[in-house]
Amino acid sequence: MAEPLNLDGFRGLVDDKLCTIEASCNTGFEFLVLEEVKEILGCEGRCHRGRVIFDINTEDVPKTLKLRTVNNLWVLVGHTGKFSYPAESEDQLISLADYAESLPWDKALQVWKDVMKFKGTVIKEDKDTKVDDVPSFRCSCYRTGSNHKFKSSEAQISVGGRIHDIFGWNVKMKDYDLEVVMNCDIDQVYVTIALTNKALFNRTLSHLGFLCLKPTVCACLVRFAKIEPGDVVLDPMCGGGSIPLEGSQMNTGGYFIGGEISAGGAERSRKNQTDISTLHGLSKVPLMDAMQWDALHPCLRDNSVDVIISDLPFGKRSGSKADNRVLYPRTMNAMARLVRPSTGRAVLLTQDKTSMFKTFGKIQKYWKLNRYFGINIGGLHGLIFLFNRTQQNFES
Amino acid sequence: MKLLTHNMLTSKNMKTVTTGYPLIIQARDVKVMEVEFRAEFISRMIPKIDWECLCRAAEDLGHLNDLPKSVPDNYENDEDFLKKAHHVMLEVEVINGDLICPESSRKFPVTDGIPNMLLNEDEI
Repeated sequence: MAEPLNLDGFRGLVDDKLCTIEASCNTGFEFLVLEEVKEILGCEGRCHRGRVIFDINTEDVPKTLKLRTVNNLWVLVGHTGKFSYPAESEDQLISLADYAESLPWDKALQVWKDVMKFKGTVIKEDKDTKVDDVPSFRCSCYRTGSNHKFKSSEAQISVGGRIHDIFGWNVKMKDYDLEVVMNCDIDQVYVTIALTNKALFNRTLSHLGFLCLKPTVCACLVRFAKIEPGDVVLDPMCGGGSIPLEGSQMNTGGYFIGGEISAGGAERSRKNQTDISTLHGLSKVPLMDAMQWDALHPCLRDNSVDVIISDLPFGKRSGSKADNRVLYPRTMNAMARLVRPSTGRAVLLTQDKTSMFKTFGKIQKYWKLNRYFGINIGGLHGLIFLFNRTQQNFES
Repeated sequence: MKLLTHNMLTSKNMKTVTTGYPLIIQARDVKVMEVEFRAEFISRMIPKIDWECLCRAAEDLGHLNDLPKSVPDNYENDEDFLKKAHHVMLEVEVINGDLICPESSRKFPVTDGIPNMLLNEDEI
């Protein structure tokens, strides 16, 4: 969170008509967030580790909540590339609070108010009058570097206290309305207001199984697969249906099928699917179906599937690495019959790198590795593999 | 289970079965739900499905209505046709019933909208 930002060319901090937004994602997926920001919002972003920064018209900021590949959003209030830290720790804390106080808050606060649809008073007309409907807030601090003579918690108190003095908001550490974030790097300091108090991936999955893939990660996988209208997209090991559920809400024009060996998983997929219809009304009946099946003995017609997208068992919480050595190639060869030659493709997520690397040679008649890249998934190093289906027709 | 999914299902993964298509539907409960019409999607799906199987399935469920027996030329621009296809492919769901293999007569149950296609050890 506190890595030097490159804000060259971004004008959200100097132009009232623009805001600079920080959008976070699972590390490794930044290029897909960049793509979504361009496609959905028409904005040019810049990637940093785990984040994409972009400028957007101030009145359009609420549209950022539509992004499906993003976990959290903040609006920048101020940034300096060279913060001069005084010598003593007490003074460092005071200078941070001074810096926060000096920033122009009005625009960012109005943006926060619009996004959160907050009905109360954010900026009091008269500083000294007591007003009842002010927001509750907390201050958070993220710090990197060893030159600071203070702890993050101390900065939170110092800056939070000053903000309370200026605005008269009530401090609340949990279930707050507004979060101010101080990001302190070695030389850089920037201040933001959170536009999401609950991460954006808290959508969709009402019936959680014990192995759920975050909707934002699912959205990244679906985006990476470049679905075309009319594509049949299969998740042969769908669990609770996270991938088909997310994919079928993304307006890709694809038809999503999830197959799962456990009855519980298939039921959960179905329940999640019907919940979406109920929650969001008719136009959002997801174009998906779930079935109970064994991926190694698939019951779909030859060449009926265009894209496979799956979160393969990592071999940690489900199955084992020894099982994966056998499961991965057998699954991919079983899928080869179903997937259309030449145009078909598979996007696979796994943490079991070794099993996957050992799989390449065993499936190369039908699957050619296109590329792979690393991501951070729940603290584990995951890998996303893209395979293209070869021209070779399936021979049993 | 939507009829679009049924259109892709086969029992050919069974040891003794050669073609295993189409699976015959014996439905006890059928549900019709409204799904937003997307012309481009339906248009792109038409060449990928077996039209005869779709008609047969619709007929078995009593939802054939005036669906044409064959796909008309220039179907991409025939919105009336696309809407009829859309209805049958996506809006008619088998909730409870059985899918029957035409060669082995093996029944695959559909429960609460979910077909169970798992095979027994002696069928693989």
